[in-house]
Amino acid sequence: MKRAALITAIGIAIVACEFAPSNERMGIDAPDLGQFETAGVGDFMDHRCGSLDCHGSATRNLVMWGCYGLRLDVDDAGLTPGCRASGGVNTQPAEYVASYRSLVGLEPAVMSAVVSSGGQDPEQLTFIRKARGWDAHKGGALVVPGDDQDTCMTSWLASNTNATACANAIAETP
Amino acid sequence: MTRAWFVLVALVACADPVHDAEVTALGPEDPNVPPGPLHRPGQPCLVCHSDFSVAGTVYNEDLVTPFSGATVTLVDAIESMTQATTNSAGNFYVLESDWKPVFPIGSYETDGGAVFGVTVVGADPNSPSEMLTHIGRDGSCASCHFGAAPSGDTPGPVYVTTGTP
Repeated sequence: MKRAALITAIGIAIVACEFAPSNERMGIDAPDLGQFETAGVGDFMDHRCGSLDCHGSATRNLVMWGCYGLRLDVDDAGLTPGCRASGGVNTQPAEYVASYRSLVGLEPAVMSAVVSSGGQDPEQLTFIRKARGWDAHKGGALVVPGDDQDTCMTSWLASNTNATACANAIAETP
Repeated sequence: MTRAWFVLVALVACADPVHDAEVTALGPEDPNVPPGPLHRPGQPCLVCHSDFSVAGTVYNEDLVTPFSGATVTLVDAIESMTQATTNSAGNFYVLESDWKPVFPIGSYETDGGAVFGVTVVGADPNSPSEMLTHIGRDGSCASCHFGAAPSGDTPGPVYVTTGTP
């Protein structure tokens, strides 16, 4: 009887250890990196959110890298802050990737839910609520639902980035 | 006795360890400069001066020598403008009671042309230093403009050129 109990206990222990291996990684249904880089989402968010006193600071949970603020490579900073049009060095591919990872990794489960639903209810994501001023945000309410800035971000979450809205968002805002 | 405990608890509850750490990080006063408009050049003024809206220090091209007499022009998100002049320490400050900006203090295009959120004019009015990016939330210049020179996370000190007027 004791032997049977011991075997059962060992069996349970083995089964218990088969789940959740220590090196398992959580997958994310993430919005497209390519659109973030080429359709203007990353440029807009760096422009709007990434000044050095805001999310261009490595101390924030959400960090944006790029030519409007924080640089990954010190040599890209140059003497003139700003993008190429103002004499600086444009945002580099590695900076888009770093910003993308920072943003997508903030709330991976919520991000997956929003993206897998085709961008439904994007306000589930904290960065959307903060941008809209619905959650406490030191930078205040920066976008209005449906305006070019909001559309730039939410269309990206819906995997159908509105590049025109992103371009307009950069042009329209400081 | 009970009242004393309530007071003690209230004091502890009101402490802000993050702010305390920021203040501590600034270090002590220079014993040769009394607290006032000339003290602590190059430091983030608004850490202590909560009654300021914008404040900072302007340097010469060498990024070390304070620039006295520079005119700092600030334009906020609703195109409200104010100006301040640097003192002998290179410091300037704007009281929030005089000008409370709507952030971002930024650079943008208008029908009348480009508007820069921050423009600093030194000796040569034809060579203004214009800030090309915007200020999103922090009126202390030195929160971003720190260090001895530009780097990946800072544009370095605010400076003006000293061209011939």
